[in-house]
Amino acid sequence: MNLQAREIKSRKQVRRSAGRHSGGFGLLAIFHLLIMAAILFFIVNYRISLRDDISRLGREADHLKKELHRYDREMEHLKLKKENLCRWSYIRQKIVAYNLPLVYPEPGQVRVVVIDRKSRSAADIYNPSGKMMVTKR
Amino acid sequence: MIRNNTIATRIKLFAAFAFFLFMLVIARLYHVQVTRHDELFSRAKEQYTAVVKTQGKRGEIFDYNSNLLVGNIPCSTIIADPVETGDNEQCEKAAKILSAALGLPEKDIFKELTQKTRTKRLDDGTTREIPRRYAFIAKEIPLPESEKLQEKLRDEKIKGIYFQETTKRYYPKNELLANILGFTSIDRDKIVAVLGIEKSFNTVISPVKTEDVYERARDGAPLTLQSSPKGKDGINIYLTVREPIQAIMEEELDKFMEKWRPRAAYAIMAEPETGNILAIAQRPTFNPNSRDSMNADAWRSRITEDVFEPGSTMKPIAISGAIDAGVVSPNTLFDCESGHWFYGGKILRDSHPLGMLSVAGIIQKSSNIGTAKIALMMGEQRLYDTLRRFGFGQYTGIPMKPETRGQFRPLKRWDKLSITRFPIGQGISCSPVQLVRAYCALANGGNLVDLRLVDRIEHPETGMTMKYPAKKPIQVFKNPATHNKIIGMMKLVTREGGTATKAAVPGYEVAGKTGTSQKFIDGAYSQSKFFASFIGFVPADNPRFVLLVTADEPNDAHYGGTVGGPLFKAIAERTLKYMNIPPDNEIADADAKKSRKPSSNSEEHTRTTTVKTESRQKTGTSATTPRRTSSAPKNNYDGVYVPKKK
Repeated sequence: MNLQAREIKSRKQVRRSAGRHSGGFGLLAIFHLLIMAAILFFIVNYRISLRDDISRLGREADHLKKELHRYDREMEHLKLKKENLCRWSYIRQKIVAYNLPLVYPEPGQVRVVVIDRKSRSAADIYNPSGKMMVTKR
Repeated sequence: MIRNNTIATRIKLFAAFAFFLFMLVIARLYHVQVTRHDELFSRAKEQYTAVVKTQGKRGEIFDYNSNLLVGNIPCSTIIADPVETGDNEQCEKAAKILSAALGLPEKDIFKELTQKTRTKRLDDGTTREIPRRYAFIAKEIPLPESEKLQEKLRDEKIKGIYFQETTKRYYPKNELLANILGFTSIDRDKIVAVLGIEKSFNTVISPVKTEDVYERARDGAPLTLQSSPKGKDGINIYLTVREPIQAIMEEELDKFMEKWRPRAAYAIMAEPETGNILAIAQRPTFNPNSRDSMNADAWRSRITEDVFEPGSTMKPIAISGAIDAGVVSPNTLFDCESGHWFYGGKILRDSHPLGMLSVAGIIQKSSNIGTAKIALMMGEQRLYDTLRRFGFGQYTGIPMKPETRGQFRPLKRWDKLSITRFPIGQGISCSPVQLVRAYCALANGGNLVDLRLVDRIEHPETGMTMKYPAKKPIQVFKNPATHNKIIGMMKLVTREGGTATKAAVPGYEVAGKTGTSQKFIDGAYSQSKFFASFIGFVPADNPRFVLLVTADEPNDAHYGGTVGGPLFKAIAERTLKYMNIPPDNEIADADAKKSRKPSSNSEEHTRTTTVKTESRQKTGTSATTPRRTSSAPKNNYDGVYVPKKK
């Protein structure tokens, strides 16, 4: 008797099984590809949005810098104007114009206000109202 | 079979053609990328890169207490692009607005805006009309005005007018310290320092230009993130001058000019211990902000550039040398020959006839003959060494260019009369700063210090400050007692019987000396033109400042005591009040209180002290106890006036 130990599969059966296996792999690959594409899409979009944010912030910073520069110039102008108005010849002129009865102080009458930052905490203890300390020079 | 062959041939031909095309592309690529690389790369770079040139601001100048003396005021330069300004109607509208705001003729602005082309001469000699893209309208327009104008132009929708940001050197205190600060001028685009501190420190306070290259988008915005380019600012300078004291000095100097109408006048105040100049002023002066009213004669810094014969202000210096060498003592008597003395073939005169005088009296009465006799006792070598040690003929250390060294002949070129004339301030000339430096040494125990005008410099970005270096003082006296002796004698000058009672400051002891010198004109001493000076220090025993006041050709009077004395008093009195320096009698009272022992008769002691003080004040002397070392002798050198023996 001629006996065959192995299981006999028909050709059709073998083809079907192979086809089933390759279809699943393909789907998996497509799925991976899609995920990759989605990640890539997300990264690219995120990068674009970041770049957009950067350029927007850059523009804003540029605008603020210009504003700051304008304020700087204005402050510089005001500082010089203040110095011009602080000059003694101008003050004297105003004293005469308003007829202010001012006299020069005698030595000993002059007191100088000193705000000592280092001893501020100590000053607060003795001076809780927060008024400036007046010390005689 | 034939059909198959045809197709194969066609494919081969197509492949060959494609290969040929590919080779062409390769060749072109080679040409573009390799052969013309440099040219094309530079052209591309030019298109996408921009260069920004920026310049920092010029360093500022402050006084000792950080009050601004020189700054940079923001302003604008207005320019136009005639190509962009539009048609005549638009230009007319723009010209009207600009003319109203700037006060310029409308016709001129209109002409500038409507001139759309200009003629360019080419290399081959031919000419061509090209678009005119630049027209200058106005410069140095203050910030508020330029901002208003910009807004108005924007509202009226006028194009082609541009505002370039610039700064202008500005002196907020106007005339104050003008001759020392100096000023700058503009030569094309460059700032040129003309004189004063501006010139002397030009390299330090000049800003640094920087260039920044960046890649830009089509609209000009930078593509790469970067910190905005910024030029480096110049170093800030802090002077030793105190603005309030300077203001006092200049105010009093103005009053003085009105009263005496001199050709010129100057005053210098310096701290004797440090050599710091507290105030320095001269008249005539100028307002550096208003160039139209500037007079070139007023520019010069007379204080450092001019020389004058110091006259009698030289006497204490020469006599201090004689006392230091032990040749004379304050009580040594000299015959002043009733005001006329024949020596070396020439007559030497005193302003008033004087008889026998002590050395102290010679200083108090300012005797030329007495001083000449002291100098003869000293000898030429000692006199020369003394004057040299006090810094005559040398630079003072003040950082001002140019600075004169004065005229002080070397010993080998002295003639027979030199020894009698130099100690009375004739035949020798010095700058005002040299004289102040010498008196600083007299006031400061004989320590000769260099004068300092710049206290510190500051880095504008880091805020780090660096003290301007000071040289070690040189001791001019060999004998430590000399200082007290000479001060004791100089105090007599402002007391009753002295030549400068008008220079006395109530409540304070003043040590000083008058000086009246004839001007040397066309080889002879003028009989009508004088320098009248007074120099002194106060409080005499603990001097806070040395002050020199000088008038060049005053009218109505010419004596140093009469002309300079009141000015000295006015400036010194106000400055002492400003500096909060208590009067000498207050110090004496405080010292007396301190030394008072707690005893049963303490009330009695107080009463006695008060009475003593009052009695001294009545007799014109102060109750101040001079601060001297225990080893120093008592300085009781009242001028001894002895009539000449018959």
